[in-house]
Amino acid sequence: MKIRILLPLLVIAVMLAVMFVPQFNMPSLVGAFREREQLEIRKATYERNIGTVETVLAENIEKFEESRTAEVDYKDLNALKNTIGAIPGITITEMLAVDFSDGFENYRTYVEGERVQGVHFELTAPSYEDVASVLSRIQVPVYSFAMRGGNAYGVTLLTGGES
Amino acid sequence: MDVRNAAFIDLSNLNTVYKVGSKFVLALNYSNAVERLAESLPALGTGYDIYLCLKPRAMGEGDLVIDELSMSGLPFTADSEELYKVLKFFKDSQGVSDIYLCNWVHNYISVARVQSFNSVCYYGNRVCHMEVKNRLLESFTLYDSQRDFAEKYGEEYNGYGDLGLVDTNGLKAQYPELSDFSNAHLTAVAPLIQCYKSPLKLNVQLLYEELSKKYNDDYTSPSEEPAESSEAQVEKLEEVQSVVEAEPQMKDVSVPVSAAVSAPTVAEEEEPAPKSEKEEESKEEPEVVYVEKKVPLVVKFVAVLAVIVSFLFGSTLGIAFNGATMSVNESYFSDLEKKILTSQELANVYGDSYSVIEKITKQYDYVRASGMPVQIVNFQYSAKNTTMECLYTSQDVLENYLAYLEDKYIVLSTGDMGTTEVDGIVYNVVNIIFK
Repeated sequence: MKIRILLPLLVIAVMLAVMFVPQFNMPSLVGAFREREQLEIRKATYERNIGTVETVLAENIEKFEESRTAEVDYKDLNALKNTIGAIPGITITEMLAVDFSDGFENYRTYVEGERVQGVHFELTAPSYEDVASVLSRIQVPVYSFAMRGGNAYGVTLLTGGES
Repeated sequence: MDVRNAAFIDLSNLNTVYKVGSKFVLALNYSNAVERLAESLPALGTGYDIYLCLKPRAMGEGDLVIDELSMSGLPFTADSEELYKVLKFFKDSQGVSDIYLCNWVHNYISVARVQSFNSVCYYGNRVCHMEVKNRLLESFTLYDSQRDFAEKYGEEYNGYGDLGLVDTNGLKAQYPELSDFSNAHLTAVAPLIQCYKSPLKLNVQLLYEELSKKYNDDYTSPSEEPAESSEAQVEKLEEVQSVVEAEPQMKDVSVPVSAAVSAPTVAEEEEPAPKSEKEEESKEEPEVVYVEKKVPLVVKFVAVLAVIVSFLFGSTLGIAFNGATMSVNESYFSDLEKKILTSQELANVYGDSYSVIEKITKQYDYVRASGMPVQIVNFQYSAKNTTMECLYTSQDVLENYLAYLEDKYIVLSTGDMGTTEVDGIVYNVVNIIFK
């Protein structure tokens, strides 16, 4: 009787004792389990949130495309370039590719035919109103619009590459 | 061979043999301590059988004759009420499957070394003389006391011959696991071991149902019976105890050793001398005759050590793993957070597509319409926020301008960008982010 009862008790006692010995860093084990549980909750929350915003994004894209009446395809970068460049007084000085993974902050050279998430045009135009008028007319999703002074403008447009 | 576990119980003294799997592993004498027997039986697990080895009552002393257990010259007679209590007790044992009744006398005869013999066995205070020819019972006579028996056969009568009657060698050859039993022990439990192959055994299910109807109108099949309270179990224990005590007891017989052909209890090895009541009472603990080999202490120690080392190793690994996971998780959440924000921005861009130009124009018009000496040199609207680079001449101007902005928008931050000179006038440069 004694050995069968004492041995498991001994094992449990040693395990419990070891759990709280700092050298074995066991307190962090308890904390880690708690932290892990919180992480699971946080993860579930994040995944739920991202599911929601992605649904909203898809819905907004659908609405945008359904309402659009402009002939030029906003996903066709060459068509956009030609359309904007054809406006008298507006000159495209640079056409760059951007990715939303870096917040559209890093511009890179656009490679012809490349499917990109966004495009950035550096323009010169007589006035802000001229640029704004063109953008309204061709019905494009404008991510950013910069007025740099001296008739220089910068426009970043979404090109449907996120979907 | 049947591999179901089983317990073989001599109801006259609670000598019990356990069979686990296909082997007899243990023989115990419970010395009429029914409660200890009840505690031990569940150790056989679930689905074990119980073989109850019973001596037939003398003719006229029982109200029930069981034909299946009767043998030539000796109808198997029992007291139905006592039998019902006993069966009910064992029926309610945890895990029990089938219960069989066996004829002790038949088993005793069948395990004898010779085919024809005279022998003496004990029925409590009474002495039984049996005469067997060619394994058939010729006569079975009960004497009320040792004195009565002695008057008939004399003080020195010892029947065939003490403990030599039972074929212990044959049993050991048949069941090698019994080789550790002494001949005396084996003689005591031989009728129990014979239960296993005896043709005279009865599955008590039907008998029990009949007895249940007779003594208990509320009888339900075992599967329908609710669990009994501990009080009820105690009550039953007391009932069975009384039944066992009422059974013929070998221990109560005062006969010379030389006259004892029948086996004494397991605890009595070579000296089946009469015992006092005190001695019997002190023998409450069952005596182990044969047990399986124990695991050496060193092995247990090593096992415990292995468990501890495994635990420590596993814990260390767990911490390391957890730490790594935490790091991965933070990166994972950071990515998710970025993705959520970006998706929100994009959703807003598409949602505001047809109004964004108007929105930008309003902002641009507003920041230029303050009437303050603030020059906007760079204006950039984005889905996140709007960033302006402004030139101003004094801190008061800047503060007033920020107040103007705050009337309509939320100023997120301002950053001093130093000074610049335009047309000979030095301006302060500030970067304002608002939304």
